Amino acid sequence: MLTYLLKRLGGLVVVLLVMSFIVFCLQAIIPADPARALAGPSAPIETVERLRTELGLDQPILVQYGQFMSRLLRGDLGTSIRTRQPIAADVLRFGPASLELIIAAMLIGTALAFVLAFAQATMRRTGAIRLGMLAAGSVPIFLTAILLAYFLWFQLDLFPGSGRLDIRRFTGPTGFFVLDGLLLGKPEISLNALWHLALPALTLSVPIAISVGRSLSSALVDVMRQPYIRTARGKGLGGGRIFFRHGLRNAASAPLAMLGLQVGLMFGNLLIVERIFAWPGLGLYAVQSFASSDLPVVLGVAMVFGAFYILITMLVEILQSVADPRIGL
Amino acid sequence: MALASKPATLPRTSNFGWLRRVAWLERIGLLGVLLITLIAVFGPLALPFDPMLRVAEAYQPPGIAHWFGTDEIGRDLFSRVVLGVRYTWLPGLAIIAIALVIGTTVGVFAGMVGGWVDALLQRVVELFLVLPSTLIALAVVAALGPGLLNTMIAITIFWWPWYARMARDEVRRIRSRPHVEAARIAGVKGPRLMFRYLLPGAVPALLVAATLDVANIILTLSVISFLGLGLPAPAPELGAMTSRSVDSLTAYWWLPIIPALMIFAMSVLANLAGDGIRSALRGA
Amino acid sequence: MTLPPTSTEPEAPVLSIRGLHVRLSRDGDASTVLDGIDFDLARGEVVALVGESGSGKSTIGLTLQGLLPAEAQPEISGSVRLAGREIVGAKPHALREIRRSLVRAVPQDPMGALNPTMSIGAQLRESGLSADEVLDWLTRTGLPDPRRIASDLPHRLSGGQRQRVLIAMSMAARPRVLIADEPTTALDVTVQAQILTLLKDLAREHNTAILFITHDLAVAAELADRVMVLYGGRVAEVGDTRALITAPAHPYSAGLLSARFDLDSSRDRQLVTLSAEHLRDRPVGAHCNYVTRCPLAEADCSERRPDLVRVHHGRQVACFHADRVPGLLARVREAPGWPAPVSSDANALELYRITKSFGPGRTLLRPARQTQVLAGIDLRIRQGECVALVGESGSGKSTLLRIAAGLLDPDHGDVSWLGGVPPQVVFQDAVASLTPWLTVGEQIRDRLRPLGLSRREQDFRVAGALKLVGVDPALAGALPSELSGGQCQRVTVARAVVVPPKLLLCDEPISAMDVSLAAQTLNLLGGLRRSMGMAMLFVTHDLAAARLIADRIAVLEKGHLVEIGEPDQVISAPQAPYTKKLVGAVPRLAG
Repeated sequence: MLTYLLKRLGGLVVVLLVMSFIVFCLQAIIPADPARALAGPSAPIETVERLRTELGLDQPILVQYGQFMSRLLRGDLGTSIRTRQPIAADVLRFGPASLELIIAAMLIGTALAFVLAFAQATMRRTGAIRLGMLAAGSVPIFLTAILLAYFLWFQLDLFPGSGRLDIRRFTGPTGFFVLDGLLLGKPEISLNALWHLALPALTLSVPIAISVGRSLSSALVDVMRQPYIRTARGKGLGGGRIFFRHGLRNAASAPLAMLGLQVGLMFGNLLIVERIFAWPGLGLYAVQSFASSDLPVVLGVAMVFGAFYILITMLVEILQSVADPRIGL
Repeated sequence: MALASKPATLPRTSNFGWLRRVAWLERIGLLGVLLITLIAVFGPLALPFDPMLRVAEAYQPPGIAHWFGTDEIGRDLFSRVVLGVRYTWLPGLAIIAIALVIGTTVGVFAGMVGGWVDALLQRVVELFLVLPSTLIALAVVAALGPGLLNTMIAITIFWWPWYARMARDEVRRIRSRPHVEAARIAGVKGPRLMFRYLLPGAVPALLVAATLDVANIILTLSVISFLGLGLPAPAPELGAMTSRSVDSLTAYWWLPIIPALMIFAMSVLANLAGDGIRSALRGA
Repeated sequence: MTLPPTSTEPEAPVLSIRGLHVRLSRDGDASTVLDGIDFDLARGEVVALVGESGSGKSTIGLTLQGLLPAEAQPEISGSVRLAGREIVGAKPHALREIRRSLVRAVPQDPMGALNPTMSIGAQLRESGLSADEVLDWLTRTGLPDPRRIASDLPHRLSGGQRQRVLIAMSMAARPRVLIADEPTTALDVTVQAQILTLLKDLAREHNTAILFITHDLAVAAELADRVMVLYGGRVAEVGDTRALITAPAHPYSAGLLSARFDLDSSRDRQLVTLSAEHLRDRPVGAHCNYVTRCPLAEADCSERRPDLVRVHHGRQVACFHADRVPGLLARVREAPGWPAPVSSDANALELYRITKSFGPGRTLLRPARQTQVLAGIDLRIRQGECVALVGESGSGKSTLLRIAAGLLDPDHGDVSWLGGVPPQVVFQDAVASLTPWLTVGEQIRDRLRPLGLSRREQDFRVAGALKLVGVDPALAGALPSELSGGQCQRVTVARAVVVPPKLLLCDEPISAMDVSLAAQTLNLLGGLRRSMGMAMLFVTHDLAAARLIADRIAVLEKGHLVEIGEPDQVISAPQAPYTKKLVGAVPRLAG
């Protein structure tokens, strides 16, 4: 088991290296001149040249890559052209907000996936569920966000439409406001944070719920047809035990993989949701950087998010082998 | 010795059997997809108004003169949306077609040849699939600069590995099936073996995947356009139109909602059509 | 055999079925699967339920457990009383209780029947056993090292071991009735013998009645007190095993008995297959459901349905003309003989010191981990001669065939064919060896391609080949999915012989077939090879089939050729210990 994990870890390290290489290449091919961009359009030539030497942009490519990698390993992701802050610092400032959102979306999405799979299984005859899932899976995420905001916020005033808290300028110890409220002994902050989390997390959870739900549903259908289910029923076991220990446990592998995949595909959606709901996370940070052509930020965020996704993939694999002990042995 | 079986009448296989397998909803999808393609190709030739010019007062709600209303500059929203359909649908189809061609070629080749070529391809494809593709596509587009061509290139680069893997898996699956082995023993070789005995079995899965992908592509393109990385303004890209008018949702709802609904419509119809193709091919 | 009852009062049957009708739906079409079953099962009795596929035999088992699949929308009517409890119409929780303690089943395919992610011990404990009882039962079913097995996952166990676990799981609940649905068809014949003995012993120990579902009458003869023959969802005949087998009263039972071949069948004649094909159309209204295939059918058979009547001592038959059945059996003796063989001295196939191993080779990190599958095999087949290669799973027989066919290269050794022309092959799964989207005519024609014949000549040859194997040439334009399994097998034979090969290799061509179809195929292959002078290598695990088709039998054990010789010699006087074991394990009709 350990060797298996180590092997996977090795593979993932390779992937991280490749990613860093791609990111670096992208930096190298941009038509814009980073030195000029940093100095400003009206700075004199000498300043630009000085900056260029400072940034090491006059060195050969491989040396630049080496410097890039060594900076990366030290945790230095570069400097934002827009905020003039080290990107790593910005990431730590905005990261928790996005992470909170992602975790909430995954939890809600998984719960909804179960509901959908269950509904599809019990209401097999009507194509209504299938049609509903197909329609929900065809909605662009910004439309979901817009509709949810319009009805639940603007019309019914059930949830807030933007921001993470009603209080301005709150900083907690961890950056996860839901947690911070509890840690500081002020549960009303946690509740407020949850209330703000509701709409964006719900929006983000829809694509997860649909695809994981579909995967779960089809995996369950396959598994429940297997001979060992009949053996279990033949033993006189109850429906609940059969479903969970014999059915779900064996069907878990594919939906778990889909869940991991969805996290990877979530990045674009995250940007949109944070933009629409003014959620101050990495996504909004990246969106603002697009607008001002702040490429180092885009690449830095890509690196961070890529590493995160790769870790998630590994977590999924561990979970898969827990569910199915045949894997990895 | 011959054990004569009763002369059986040849079963009548109707040529339209496949149509019966397609649900009525799916037929609507197929028709809809056809309609959208026609609109995308011919629509912009017959627009009621010039989509780029101010033709009326700004912020008109949908009405008789302007079916979808007018935008913040006073341009006819209906004309802009029709043009926007072309800017989303046609590039989407193009991306899938190109990715399909590249992917299938690479995949079939790897599947047939096997050995180290296949192993190499497997690693490359795995790499592409493990990387968070949307992320890097966005980064690529941001780096190369916004624009339709760059977007298409970025997405195609990340789309073809899926098809390559699928094509390779299908080829391997069929290749090891007894009927291919039996054909080889019967003396069928090389190109004839590949084209008559192998490929026809791989086509259905790829076709279904490609058709279902159309909806995905529409959504992906709209996301990129929403983030401002598609064609620059004043080009009427549906995602960008929504993005620019999101803040005026409460006041002028038709501006963000109608283009978004159009994307939704294209995606739903494409999904239904994809299901339809899958049903039709189920017997094959 | 059960012990005679100690009291003179007949004990109440543990299972009593009256008027059982079951309808199941598939894709919206409902059909009657069981059509009026009446039957009693006494305590501790073993009854074999015999029938072909489609007879409804498995459905009876499922109905007893209340496990008919919900998506088939089952409609059940009649009465099924198990130990005094009514099953038809019982509530789900009552059924669950019945399944827990009264009736258990051992499935046909042990491979998929255990939860792959749960240890064996855990699955047994689910039945309500304590950890000690688990070990006890594993030992009782003959599994070595029960502690290790209890902690293992199912995929580590062989098919026979899994079947023993499933038997333990069922018997541990001490059910009144055990349903065994073809529990040994997926197993090797030596393992089959052990499992059958195990079942018999356990049942006797706990006085459990067994309903043993099978298509093999010899297995029934070894195990059962009584036999029930099922045809098309109706009971054709019920009676004492010995008596029924010596003197069947229903034409269908007679057909089954005559179609089956075993080690005592005559080698000089072809097999007789009574009415395997449809002889007339299905009549409208009430009728005997065997009328479409029955050689004894008369007018009344198409007008009324025969009831199950008692004919003599313990025998019940549903036929109007049971008295004419003995005459039917007499016809068996008049089967046609084989055509005269053509042979010569040249060798059609020469295998010299063939060695083959499988497994991951040496890599940088670890040495090779290979299993040797074939260890230096020498075999020569003369032109016109048929050699049967007999062995169980893991013997390497399929690998040897593939090497002989040129599909696989040996690690060491030589393969040579007469004239250097590679042989033709007939595979086990005929439908899978035909390309689904090409017509059968095209696939046969592809063999003629290199000959450069005109299109008309090709069509002529294809039609000729189809006629030769007994398929209507008009079917050349059909797709494989439009033909029956038997027709597909004949088409593959046609493809092989349309250009007569010097050597024909057959890889278990009859293993997956019903007895009557298997007999027909043996006749076809046997007749063709003699008339065409083809050499043949016939790979099989069925010793009886090997004896009928071959001039010599070669016995393969774990990659070694342990014995080769004339069939009657090998079978009546086997030299190698493995051969002795193999011959002894074959279930005999004579008991």
